[in-house]
Amino acid sequence: MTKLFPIRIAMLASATMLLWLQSCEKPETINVLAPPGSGHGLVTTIKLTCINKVAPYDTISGTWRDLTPDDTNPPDTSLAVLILKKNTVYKVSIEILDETRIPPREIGEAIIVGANYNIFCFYTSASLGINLAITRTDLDTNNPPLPIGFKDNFITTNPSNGLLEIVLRHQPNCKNGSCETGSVDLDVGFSVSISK
Amino acid sequence: MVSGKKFAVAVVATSILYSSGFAQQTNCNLSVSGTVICADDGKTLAFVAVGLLNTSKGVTTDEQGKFSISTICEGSYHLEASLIGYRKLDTLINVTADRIIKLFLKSDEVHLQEVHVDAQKIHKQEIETVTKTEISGAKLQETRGENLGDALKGIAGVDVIHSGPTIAKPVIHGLHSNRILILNNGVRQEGQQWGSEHAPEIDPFIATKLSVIKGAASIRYGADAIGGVVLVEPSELPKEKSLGGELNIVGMDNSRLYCGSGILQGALDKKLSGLSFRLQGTYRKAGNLHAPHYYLDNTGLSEKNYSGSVGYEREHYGVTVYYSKFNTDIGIYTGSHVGNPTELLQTFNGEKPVEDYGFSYTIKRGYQTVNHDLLKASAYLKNIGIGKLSATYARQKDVREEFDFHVPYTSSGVDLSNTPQVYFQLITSTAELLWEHQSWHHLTGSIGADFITQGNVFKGLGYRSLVPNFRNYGGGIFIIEKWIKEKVTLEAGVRYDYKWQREYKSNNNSLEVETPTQQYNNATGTLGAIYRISPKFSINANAGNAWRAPSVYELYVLGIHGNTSTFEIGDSNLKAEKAYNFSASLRYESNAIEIELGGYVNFIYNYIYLQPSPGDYVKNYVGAFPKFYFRQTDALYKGVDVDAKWHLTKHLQLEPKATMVFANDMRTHGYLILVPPQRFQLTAEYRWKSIGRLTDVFINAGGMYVPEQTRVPANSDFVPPPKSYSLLTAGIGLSIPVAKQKINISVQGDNLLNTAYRDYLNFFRYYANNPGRSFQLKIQIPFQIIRNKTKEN
Repeated sequence: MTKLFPIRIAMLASATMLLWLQSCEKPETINVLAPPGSGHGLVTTIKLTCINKVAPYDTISGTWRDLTPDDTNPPDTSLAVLILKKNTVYKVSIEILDETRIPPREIGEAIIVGANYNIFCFYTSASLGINLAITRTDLDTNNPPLPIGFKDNFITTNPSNGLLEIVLRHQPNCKNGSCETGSVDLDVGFSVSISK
Repeated sequence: MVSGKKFAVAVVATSILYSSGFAQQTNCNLSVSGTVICADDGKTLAFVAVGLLNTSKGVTTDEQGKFSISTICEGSYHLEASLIGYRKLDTLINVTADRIIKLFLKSDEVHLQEVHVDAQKIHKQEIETVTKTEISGAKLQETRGENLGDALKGIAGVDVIHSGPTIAKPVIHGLHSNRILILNNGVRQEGQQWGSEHAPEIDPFIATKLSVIKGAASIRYGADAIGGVVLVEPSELPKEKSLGGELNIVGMDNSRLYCGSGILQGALDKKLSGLSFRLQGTYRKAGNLHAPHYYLDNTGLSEKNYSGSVGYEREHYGVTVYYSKFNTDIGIYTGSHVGNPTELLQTFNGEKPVEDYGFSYTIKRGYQTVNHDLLKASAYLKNIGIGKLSATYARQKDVREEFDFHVPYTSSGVDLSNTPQVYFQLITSTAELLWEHQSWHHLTGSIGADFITQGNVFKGLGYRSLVPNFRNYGGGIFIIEKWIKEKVTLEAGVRYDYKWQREYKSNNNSLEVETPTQQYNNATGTLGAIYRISPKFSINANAGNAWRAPSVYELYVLGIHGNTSTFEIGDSNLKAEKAYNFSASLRYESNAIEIELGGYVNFIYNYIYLQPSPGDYVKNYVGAFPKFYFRQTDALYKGVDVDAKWHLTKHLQLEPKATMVFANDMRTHGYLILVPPQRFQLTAEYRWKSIGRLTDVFINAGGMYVPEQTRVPANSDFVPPPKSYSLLTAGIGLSIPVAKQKINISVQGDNLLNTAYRDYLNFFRYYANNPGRSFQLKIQIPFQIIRNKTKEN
């Protein structure tokens, strides 16, 4: 070996170091030997509160709940029931919650922040047999402003029973007030009974 | 010597595009001919492949060991001569006049007379009796600018699975993802291979050769090589004093893709002799693709990759360090975002309008970011009387982040705007020890051991645990031997593998931590033969087995697969898949016709697949999703690959290709899902060796026909497979000799008739058509700043 041998080795070593440093970025902050952490963004609960416009003490609520939304367990729909009076106008508000957290987290705020991209759609066609008309009463900040649907008027007429399907559509850059564009973010059903 | 050449290179880039005349007249009518001789006994060697690298010129020696390569332009070339059982010879030759040379091949440890030889190739011992197809030189040039999956689609027997226009995965003989293996510069690529939307994290520009081994190859490469292996191989580092490289430029009108990739490499001499390096980098950017009638919104991509290597090589040892970084952002087509199956059907039936926002390079939410780092260090000892010993260590880190179309809902105070819905990090360390022993009584072979350990972590939004975290350890030992005499090669090998894996998951109901553990033991073997009936005609056959452990996704997934709107449920009792693969091929090569005809049968026991559960839905707040369970059955894949060239005249050649795969569920006697439809291709090419100063001038046109896949299981998909389609392509290309280098320029057109079609292997066929017509311009500029003095006769 010549006396230059150490120089060659030094050059090789420094190149190796450079390459190695490149590959060593910030250290792992997550642990392999533990389960994945509980994620954000779960939706477990949709709650409807209906206040009789002329008699505010007449308040009805219904709750659709699935505490394991990422599991195969079916949702609990036993409380997803609204019994409304005929020929009445209700002021309705919708709450969306993550009840896997203690205390439960209000998800709806985030939807209001992104209201310009979101719209609630209600499906109560005649085939579903409910005499219920729904108008959205809140507006976003689009120009011109478009309805959102967190606040609504439910207007009942003749007694009937059926299913109310509530769909939240996500419409980034394509919201136009209709339910045609975008994609479904939420789709739950409430049984509605309009009493005599 | 140096300064003049430097100047010559400096003007290359400008002169090629504007030049009206060239600095020097280049003679392109030179030839190199000679004889290949066995250095051990002085006898001539027949069937030796002799070729000039990075050109399309290659021949095979005749029975007297003679060869002749004609119409070569003045310049310096890498001449390569190879024959099974002999060390590959790779040498630089200067061609300034017609040359007659003698090449000596040695059966074991090298070194040569006549032509100076440096054949210290780190020659990976592959399985020779399984069919292997390579793409290099001009064929590789045609694929520049494409991702790895699409670059391989020209090979008979290889298909591509797409998730939208920009995410592509190779399929070999109908198998993909965890059933094939990708070797990136000799290291098994470890990313999140299980997902259909998880493309290989590799920059094809690092390679000067892409190869596909079509058949079971677990014997050499370990688990997962059930369908085959993709090898992404860079060229060796330069050996003699030089400084040079290559610049590639690609542009495409559809998607307005622009891509540049460069290589700078060199070797030092005198006191630093043996030290060499390479630096390589690629930038690739594209915007929205256009399908017939509309733009595919948010289908752009942005890719930045680089790699570097340093090598030090002496007579008895060598060390190489290689580092590469792959970094891509890929937009996901906006129209593919559907909340639930009802919407998917509305989209498919055209009830949902296509939202066309025109062209943009912007990548919006609904994208994935993938980073892959690879560090590889290898060292070897050779010429020490026992063959060659090598050791390789590699560490790779794969980080995959998938950002859904919208920011997940959250309570106030938590900003999730830059948080991905799905985050995976997989760190893999691999090590390999290999002894390639000296030739002994016609036997050559290798004995090796390899080790692997992985740690995987998952973080998710909207999921608590799509897949658990895990740690695994594995190891294997193998021996593969080849006996080669005259017309016959016999090959046999055995291997043993062990794998241990433990998952870390939390039970959603009890919230307790569970740590299930699996262990796998597997023995594999291979047996094959090649019989060279004549110099033109050979047949080969191989029987081998392969295996793979179920992926953690298949074992434990519990959640909605966004692309397909299905709720997928893993099975923790899945067993390892075991495959028994039989393949045979015949090869005939004459001046008029070259044909390779291959057939295979692959039995896969405990084949893991997703089984629908008709009428069974998982309901949650987004809607109702059909349940699919991971199940096991026995599968039989069989098929035929045809790859031929027919030289009709001196200039005109026809190139037919066919890929046919048939697959059955052996337990139900039904079909399997996502089996590639058949594919038939025909290309006609007219080629001039030279026109004036231009060389390798060609014009070609081709067609591809893909019939409808009718062999699909019932009730396994939302919609029937798409109809058959035909596509037309055309291309034109030429080489311009400039300063002793050849600049290659080509223009290629795909889907010339702007046909609206959908492909069965594209998961986005539910949502939109495949891209329409596109034209690509490709320019390859090699350059030499310092040229080495070739030591030759």
